[in-house]
Amino acid sequence: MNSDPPPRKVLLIGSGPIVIGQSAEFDYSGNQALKALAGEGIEVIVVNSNPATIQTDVRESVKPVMVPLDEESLRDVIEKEKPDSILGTFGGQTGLNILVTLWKSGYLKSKNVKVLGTSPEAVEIAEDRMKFKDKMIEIGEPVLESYYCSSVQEAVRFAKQVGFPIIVRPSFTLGGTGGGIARDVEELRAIVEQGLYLSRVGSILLERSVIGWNELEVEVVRDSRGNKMAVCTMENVDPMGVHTGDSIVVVPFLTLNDKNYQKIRNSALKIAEALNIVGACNVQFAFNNRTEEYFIIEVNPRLSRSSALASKATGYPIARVAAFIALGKNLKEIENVVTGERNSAREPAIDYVVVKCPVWPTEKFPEENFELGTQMKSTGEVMAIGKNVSEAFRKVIRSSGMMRRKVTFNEGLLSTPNPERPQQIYEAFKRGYKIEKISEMTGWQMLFVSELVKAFEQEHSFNGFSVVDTCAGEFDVKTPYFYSSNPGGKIGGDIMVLGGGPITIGQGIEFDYSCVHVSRLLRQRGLGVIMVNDNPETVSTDFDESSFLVFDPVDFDTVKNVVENSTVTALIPWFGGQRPINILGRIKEYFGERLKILGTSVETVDMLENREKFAGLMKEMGIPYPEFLFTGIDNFLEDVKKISFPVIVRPSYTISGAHMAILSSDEEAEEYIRYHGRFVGEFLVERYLGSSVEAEIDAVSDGENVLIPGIIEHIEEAGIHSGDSTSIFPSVNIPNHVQATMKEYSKMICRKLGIIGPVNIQFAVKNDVVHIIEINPRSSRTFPFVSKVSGINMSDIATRVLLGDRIEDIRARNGVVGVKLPIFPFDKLKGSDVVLGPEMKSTGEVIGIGRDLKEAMKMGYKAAGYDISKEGVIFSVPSRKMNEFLGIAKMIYDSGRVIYSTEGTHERLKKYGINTVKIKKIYEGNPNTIDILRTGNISAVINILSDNYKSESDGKMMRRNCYEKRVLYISTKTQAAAFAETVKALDA
Amino acid sequence: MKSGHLFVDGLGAFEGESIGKDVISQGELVFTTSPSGYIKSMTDPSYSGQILVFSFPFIGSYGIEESGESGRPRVRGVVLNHVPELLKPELSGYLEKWGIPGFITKDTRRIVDYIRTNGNKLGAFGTDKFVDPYLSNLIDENLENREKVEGNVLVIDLGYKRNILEHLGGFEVSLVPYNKFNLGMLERVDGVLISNGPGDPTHKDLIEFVDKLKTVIKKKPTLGICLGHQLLSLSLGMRTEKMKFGHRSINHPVEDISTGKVGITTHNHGFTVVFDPKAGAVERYRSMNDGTNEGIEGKNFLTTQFHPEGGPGPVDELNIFKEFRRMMNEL
Repeated sequence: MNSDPPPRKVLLIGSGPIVIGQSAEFDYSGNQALKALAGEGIEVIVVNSNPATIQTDVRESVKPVMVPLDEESLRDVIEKEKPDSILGTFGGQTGLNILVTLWKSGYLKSKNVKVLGTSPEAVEIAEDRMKFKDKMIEIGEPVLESYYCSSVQEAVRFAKQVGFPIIVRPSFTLGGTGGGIARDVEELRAIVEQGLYLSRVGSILLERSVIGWNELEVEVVRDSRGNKMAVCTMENVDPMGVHTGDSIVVVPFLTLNDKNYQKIRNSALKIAEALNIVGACNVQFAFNNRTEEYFIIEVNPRLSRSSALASKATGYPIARVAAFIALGKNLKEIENVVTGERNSAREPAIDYVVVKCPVWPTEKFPEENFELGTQMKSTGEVMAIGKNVSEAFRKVIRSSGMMRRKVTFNEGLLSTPNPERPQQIYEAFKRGYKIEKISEMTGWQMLFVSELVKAFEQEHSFNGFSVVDTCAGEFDVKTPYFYSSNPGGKIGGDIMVLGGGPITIGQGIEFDYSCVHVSRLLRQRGLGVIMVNDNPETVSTDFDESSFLVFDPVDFDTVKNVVENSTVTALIPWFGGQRPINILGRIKEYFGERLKILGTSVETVDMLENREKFAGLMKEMGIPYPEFLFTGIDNFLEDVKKISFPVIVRPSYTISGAHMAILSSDEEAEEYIRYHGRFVGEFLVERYLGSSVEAEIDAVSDGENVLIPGIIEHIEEAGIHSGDSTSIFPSVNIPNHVQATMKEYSKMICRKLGIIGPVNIQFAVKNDVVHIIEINPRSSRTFPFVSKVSGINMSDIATRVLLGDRIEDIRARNGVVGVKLPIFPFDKLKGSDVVLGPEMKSTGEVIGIGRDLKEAMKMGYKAAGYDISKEGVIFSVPSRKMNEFLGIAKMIYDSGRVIYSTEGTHERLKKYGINTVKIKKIYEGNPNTIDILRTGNISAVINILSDNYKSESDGKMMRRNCYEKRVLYISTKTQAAAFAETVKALDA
Repeated sequence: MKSGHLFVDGLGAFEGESIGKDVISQGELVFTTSPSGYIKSMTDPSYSGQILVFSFPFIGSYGIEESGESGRPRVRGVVLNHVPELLKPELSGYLEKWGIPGFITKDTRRIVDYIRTNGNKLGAFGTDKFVDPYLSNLIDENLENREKVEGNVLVIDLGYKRNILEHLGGFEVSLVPYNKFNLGMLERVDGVLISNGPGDPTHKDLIEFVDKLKTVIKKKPTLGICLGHQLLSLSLGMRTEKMKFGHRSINHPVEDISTGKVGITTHNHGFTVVFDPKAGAVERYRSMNDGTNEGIEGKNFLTTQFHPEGGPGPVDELNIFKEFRRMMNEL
C-alpha cells in the first residue's frame, strides 16, 4: 500500500463558515495538517471559503484558494492546480461530503488524484447508517434496533412496532441538523419531514431510544499498518438524549470501573480496525452503568470537534499525527513533538481532569426554546483543566459566564436539559434537594451533581501552574502547556496575549486568527509569549503556537495568576475581541505600572465606551454623529421629539433586536410605546439616518501615522449589526470624496486620542455627510477579511506598532474585490424570528473574491450556499419606492429570469413592460409567495419594506422560509443592485 | 479531616489528610499513571512492599465496585491527590478494613517528579524511619499458599493476578506456590505459567526455583509474565537490573518484533531483563518508550514483561495467551 510515490502536491479541503456544529476546530485541525505536510516539503492547496482562518493564509508551500466549498469549485481547483492527492478528513462533515461526492462520481480517479487517509469506501460505511449497522453486526458489536427509511409512512410503521420515544437522525448532515426525539406520531411526522428534506441523500434513521444512558466517546488513532490507540476517553455528564456538542463532558471516563473502561476502549479499537480507519476517528457509545450493557451510537471517520477536545485535553496532537498517517507513516515513525520522542505510539496519560462546557447564544435569541436535544444549539465551548472535577467545573463556570447570569429556580428545568441546568442544580441544592434526588431528576450521576455543587460553593486560589505533558509526569517533555493550579510552579514569558475565549455570536474565530498572528510575530522578535485562552477549538491553543500556553479562563483571576507566577511584564489585550477589553480597567487598577499594557491607554478605552463622553468628543472635533438620548416609558413621547424623526428606538439593556423599531411620526411613537412599553424599561433613541449607507474601517495607528487599507462598505439597511451585514472591501459604491472624509476623520481621531495599535471605526453616510457611529480601539471581526483581500497582514502590523515600530506606507493590492456574507443559525434555531437588528445573529462568514464586484458576489453567494442560477426571482417593492427599483427589475427581467410578484408590484411593473407572474400574498390563498419558494426554483427574494416599522413583521415568515430553503433574501437597494448585476453577468 | 504525614527519603515530610488505617507503614515509593482500576492496582500482589502514588488525581470516582486482582490490597499504602467527597467514605472504609494507610496530598506531582528525576525512593507513613522492602522475601509474605492440583495447566504462583487465569480458557488450572513446586508436577500438565509477583528477581530465595526453570522449559510449553519473565530469562543466563523508577502504567506501547506492530500494554515492574541474544532466546517485545526488553521467546516458551491480561488496563496483546494455548494444544 505504500508502493505509490509519495504525495508532492496535496489538496486539503477546509470546512467553510462557522455554523452551529462546525466551529473553529477545523481550522485548528487543518492547520496542524498543514504544518505536518509543509514540514515534509509537500505543496498544499487549501480550499476554504472562510476568510477568518489561519489555514487560508499564504505561506511557504501553502496556497490557499478561497472559493465556495462545493463540487463544482473543487473540480475547478483540481483542474487548475493539478494536485496528486486529496485530504478530505480535516474539513468536518462539509469536507468529508465533498470528498465522497468527488470520489463517487469517479472524478478523482479520472484526474489521478489519490485519496489520502481513511478511504472513501470506509467513510461510506461509517456514514451510511444501514451499512454501518451491518458492519457492526458482522463484527459482533451491539447496535440499536433501527430502521432506515425515506418516507413518513415507513417511519410511522416502524414506530408502531418498537414504540416511542424514537430518535430521528438524518444521514449526512451537520451537527444533527434536522434530527430530533419523537414522543408521538404527530412529532414523528414533523421531524421526519424536516429530516428528509435536509438530508443530502434523502434518508433518515429511526432508532430505539436509549435516552438517559451514559454517553461515552473514545478518540482513536490508527495507522495503515493497523497500529492503533485510544487517545482519549470522554464521558458526557448530560446523558443520552442531548447532542454531545451540547453536553458537558469530562475527560477521562470517571464513573466506569476498569473492566467497563476497557470494554468500551476495546470496542472502539475493534471498530477502527473493522472500518480500516487510516488516521483518526471518534466512536460514540451509549452505556448503561447499571446493567453494564452498551451500544455503538456512531462513528465519525474524520477529525471532529471531539478530536480537537481530545487533543487539547491530553496534549496529543491528533490532527498532526493523522496527517502523517495519511502520508503513509506509522505511529512508530511519527515524532511526538510534545515529548520530543521519536514515536507517537504511547496513549496519553493525564494527571488532571478536564471539563468541557458548551456555550449557547441564549441572549441573542430570547424567543428560542433552548431545551436541548439531538439538534445541537451551542455555538462554541470552553474547556477547563483541574486537579479534580469541582475545580475544573469552577473554571468552566468562570469561562462560560454562568456566574453572572442570575436564574430563577424552576424545578421543571432540572428534568429538562437546558443551558442553565448547572445553575438550577445548585439552586435546588441550596433549597435542600438531596444529591440523590437531583441526580434522579437530571439524569446526571451523583458524582457530577456533587462535584458541581462543590464548584459553586468553593472558590479556588491558585499560586502557579501545572503542566499538560501527555504522560502525567512519567517522562521529561519538551513542549508542555499549562493550567492554573495549587500548588503550582512558575513559568517564564515576556508578553501576555489574551485570547478570545469561546466562540459566541459576535465573538468568533476572527479574534483567534489575530491572536495567532500576534503570537507568531512576537516570537519572531524573540519574545516569550504567554497565550491565555480557554477555547479548545482554536489554533491559538495549539501547543506550539505560543511559548507558554495557559489554558485557563480569559478573566482577571487568570491574569493575576500569570502576572504573579511568570516573568511577564507586558500585556496585549487588543486581539481577543471584547472579553479582554472588559477586564482592562480591573487589570489596570490592580497592577498599575507593574504590568505594562501595550498600545492605546485604558483611559481612552473607557472614554470610547461611554456614549456621553464619545458624543462630547465628536462635538469637540466637529465630526457628525447620530444624535441620541436615553429615556424611560414616562418621558418617552416628549424625549423622542427632541430628536427629529425618523428615530431608531431600541431597549437600552436587552441584548436583542426584539423591541427595536424605526419611528417616523408622533403617531407611530404613541403606538410603539403602547405596545412595547410593557416589555421594556429604558430606551435608547437615536436619530435614524434613513436609507443611509453604513461603512467601517479597520486601521492601525502609531499615534501619528494611520494605516487604512480601505473602506468596508455594508450593503444591509442601516440599523443592522455590522457583523450581520454583507460587506464589500474595498468599497465600490461610496464616492471617493466621502471615502476621503472617512479616512480623514479616522486619522483625526487616532491622533487626538493617541490610539496605538488596532482600531475599528464605523460610519453612516447620509447625503454624503459622514457620521461616526462607533469607535472600537481594538482588532475587529473584519481584520482577517481585510487582511486577506488587501494582502496586508493587519495583525502583524498592529503588533509591530505595539512594540514601538512606526507605520510605513504600505499599499493594498489592487484589482481585487472581496465580499463577506454572514451565515445565520436560523436553520438550527427554529423558534427564532428571522429578524436582523442591532444585535448580531450570524455565527460565521464566507468570502467571495473576484476581479470586480459581480465576480466577487457570484462567488460569495455560492460560498454562502445560495444558488442564484435558479430561474425565479420573487419581487416585492412598495409603490413609493418602485421608481428606484425599475432599473434593477429590468436588468433581472432582461437576463431571462422569471419574476414573481404580488398584485401591486405586478401591475406597476407591467406598465413598464416588465411581465411578471402574479402570485398571492401569504394569507390570500394559493399559490402564494411561500408556495413559489417551495418549488425550489427561486434564486432570490427581493422584499423591500417601507420605512414603517409595522411592515417588518410581514417579512418574517418570508425570511424564515428563505433561510430554511437557502434562498437569498434581499432587503436593500444596494443588495438588489449587486444581485441584478451578478445575475446579468452570470447569464450573459 | 484527619491530618497525617508522609515521609519521603530525601524530600522530607509532607503533611496531608490521612484516610484508611492510621498505622505506621514503610515501603518503596512508586507511581502509576493509570486513571482507572485503582482497586485492581491496590490488590495487585506485584505492588507488595510498595507505597503506591497515583498520579491521576481523582481516584475513587466509581467507588470500590471492582473485582480485585487478589483477595485484599497488597500495597503498603496509597498516596492520592484527591478523592471525590461523595466517595471518600467508601474508599477510606475499604482501606481501613484491610489495614492500609492512605494519604491525600496536593503534592503528588512533586513526588512523581522527584521519583522520575531521582529514581524510586523509600517512603513511610507515621515515621521517618525507612525500611528497604527488598531485604525481605516479599513473595512469601504475600503468598496465599493455595494449592490446586487437578488442572492441566500449572500456574506457579509468585503472587499471581486473578485476571491471568481468566485468559486460560479451555484449560483447567492447577495452582502451586513457587516454593512448593517440584518437577514431578510437570507430568500431569500440558503447560506451565510462571506468574507475576513482587520484589527483586535475584533474591536469594528464588535461586533454587530459577534453577528448576531450566528443566521446565525443556519439558513443557511455558509462559512467563512479569516476574515470571524475569526468572525465566535469568534461568537462560541473562541478567536483570533495577530500573531507575520502573514502568507502572496502562498506556505503554510495546513493539511485537515478530510482526512490527505496536500494542498498548499494562506495566508494573521495577526490574528489567538485559536481553542477551546468545542466551538461546529471541527478543519478542521491546518497549517503545525506552527500548527495554518486554518479552522473549524460544522453542517452547514465551514471556512478557508487560501484563497481557491488563487488570487494570488494555488487553491489546491477548494473542500471547492464544499462542500459549496453541503451544499446549500441539503437545
